[in-house]
Amino acid sequence: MGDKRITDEQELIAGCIEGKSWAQRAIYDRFAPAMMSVCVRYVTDRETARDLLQEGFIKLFTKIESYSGTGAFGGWVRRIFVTTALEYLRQNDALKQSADIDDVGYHIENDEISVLEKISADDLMACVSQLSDGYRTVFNLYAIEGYSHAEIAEMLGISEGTSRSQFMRARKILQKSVLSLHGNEYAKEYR
Amino acid sequence: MQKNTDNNTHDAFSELYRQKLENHTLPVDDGVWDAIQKGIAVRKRRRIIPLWWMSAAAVLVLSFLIFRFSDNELPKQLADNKTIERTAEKIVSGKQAAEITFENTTENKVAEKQSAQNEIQNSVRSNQSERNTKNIHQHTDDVHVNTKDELADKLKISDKEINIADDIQQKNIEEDAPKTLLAENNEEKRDTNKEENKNAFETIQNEPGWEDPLKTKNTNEWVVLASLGSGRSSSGSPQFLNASNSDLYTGLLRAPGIKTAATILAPADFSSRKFHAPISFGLRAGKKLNDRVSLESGLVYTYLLTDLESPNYAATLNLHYLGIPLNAKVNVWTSRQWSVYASGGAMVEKGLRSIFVQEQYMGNQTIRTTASTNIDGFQWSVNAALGVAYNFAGTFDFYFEPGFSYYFDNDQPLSIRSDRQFAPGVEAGVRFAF
Repeated sequence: MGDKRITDEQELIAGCIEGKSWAQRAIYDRFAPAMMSVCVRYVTDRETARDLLQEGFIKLFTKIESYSGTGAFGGWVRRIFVTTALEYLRQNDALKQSADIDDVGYHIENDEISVLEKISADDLMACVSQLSDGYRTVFNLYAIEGYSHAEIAEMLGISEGTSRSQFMRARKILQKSVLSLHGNEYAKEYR
Repeated sequence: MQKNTDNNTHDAFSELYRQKLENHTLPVDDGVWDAIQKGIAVRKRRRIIPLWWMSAAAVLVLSFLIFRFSDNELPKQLADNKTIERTAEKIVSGKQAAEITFENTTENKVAEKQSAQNEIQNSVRSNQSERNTKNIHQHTDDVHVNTKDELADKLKISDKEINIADDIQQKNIEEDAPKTLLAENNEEKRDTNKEENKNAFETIQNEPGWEDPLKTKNTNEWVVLASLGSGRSSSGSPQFLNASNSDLYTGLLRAPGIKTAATILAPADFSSRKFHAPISFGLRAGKKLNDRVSLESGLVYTYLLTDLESPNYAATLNLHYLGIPLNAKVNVWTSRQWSVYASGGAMVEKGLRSIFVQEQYMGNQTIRTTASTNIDGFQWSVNAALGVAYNFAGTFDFYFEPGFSYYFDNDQPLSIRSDRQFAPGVEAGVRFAF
């Protein structure tokens, strides 16, 4: 089954390289919803996210011949959309803010974990959207995309310490948001 | 991208966040796909147009270079203070007629005039003895140059014109006599004494040996001749006449002030020939018939080089062709960006220019003569090749294609193709698939 999907994916990639519309449509159908989520995580505004999605797919189809085939195609696709979102944020000076804060005292309590498990992905998206552009970007890059702080520092043109501290700050805000959300839910249940 | 290890592992909160959002999806409205398609079309146009411009620019540059080398710049570039530079333009009017007008720019002109008379005499005498078909007798103090009526008719040059040329020739020599004494006493002044002198002079005979290799058969064909000689001292009697007369090309190219006469050998007269493999550059467009087979055509520029040697002579014959191929291409192996294919088909080529560059060594002198002619007719060929292509942008490939061609005998100038009809070649270029 997995092999079939890989073969299918390779055929689609080959088709896209040749400019075949059917292959492009298949790739779009396969990745568009997930990439829409990625875009929304970075810019929050749906209309802007839609524009980024569009721009990202145009890049994908016009640069697909540069895909080396060595890594996972899905990861390559995701990087295109993340990069597109970062370019947008950079152009709009959304990443200029930086706040070095001390990396102290953020303990993760077990009850926060259990709360998080109960919250839906859509609610988590809503929590992330409440973060400022800088915090949200660093949190997305580090926690979701899996970049290191060194890589994030290079991508955003900030210091590694700034990346680390912004992540800490973002996480703290999210924890509060999650607990707050859980409290509301809890209150709803017992209302 | 490396997995973050700043804290070695994600904290449990972040990890849970990642698990929940990593594969999260959101609905996308249909309008996005339409916008994407339009965007792709626009980007493709933006990318294709520069490529075509680049291709067109490459063709223009190539054409410019071809015709650039066909003019008289080469000798001028090589001239130095010890160089006799001669350029000549010739209009070949028919197979047996020629008129050459020399434009002589020389830095050693005064000194060279010293030996001009003797050289003219020697040249003309030799020419007379070897080539009875036509002669030019030039009148100087002890050399008489006349023009036969018959030759004048063939050359389409009126007697008046030739007489004027003779008068100018004689006048120049007479006027330069006092300067000769000055030149003998002052070597440095000789080197800096520059002046231009235009004279009508001489003819070249038309021998089969010359006509065949260069195929100058058209009645109104333009030929550009350029000649350059370099020497470190004034020479005595020119030695080129010591060569086997059978080796001599029909024409003796001389001008007032040039101390020796350039003898042009026909390419067929050289004792040694070295044929270089053709080098081609192509711009091709291919239409895919199915996943493996495509039909293609385009433009292919080909450069053919032949080295020629004989005692005291060396020459190169440079031929430039532009062809239109029609080929079938079958992919043998393909990867994402690379493909290996077999190709076969036919091509018709038109010769753009034939440039014959000869160096004649006479003691410590070298006379370089360049003859540039059109190439008549078309070269037809069939070919088979094995190629490799690299997809560098969209549907554009770079390709490299070694192969063999069979060239039909289409009465074309001397080259590897005329030497062996089944000849190897290498073509590289850009291919556009649609």
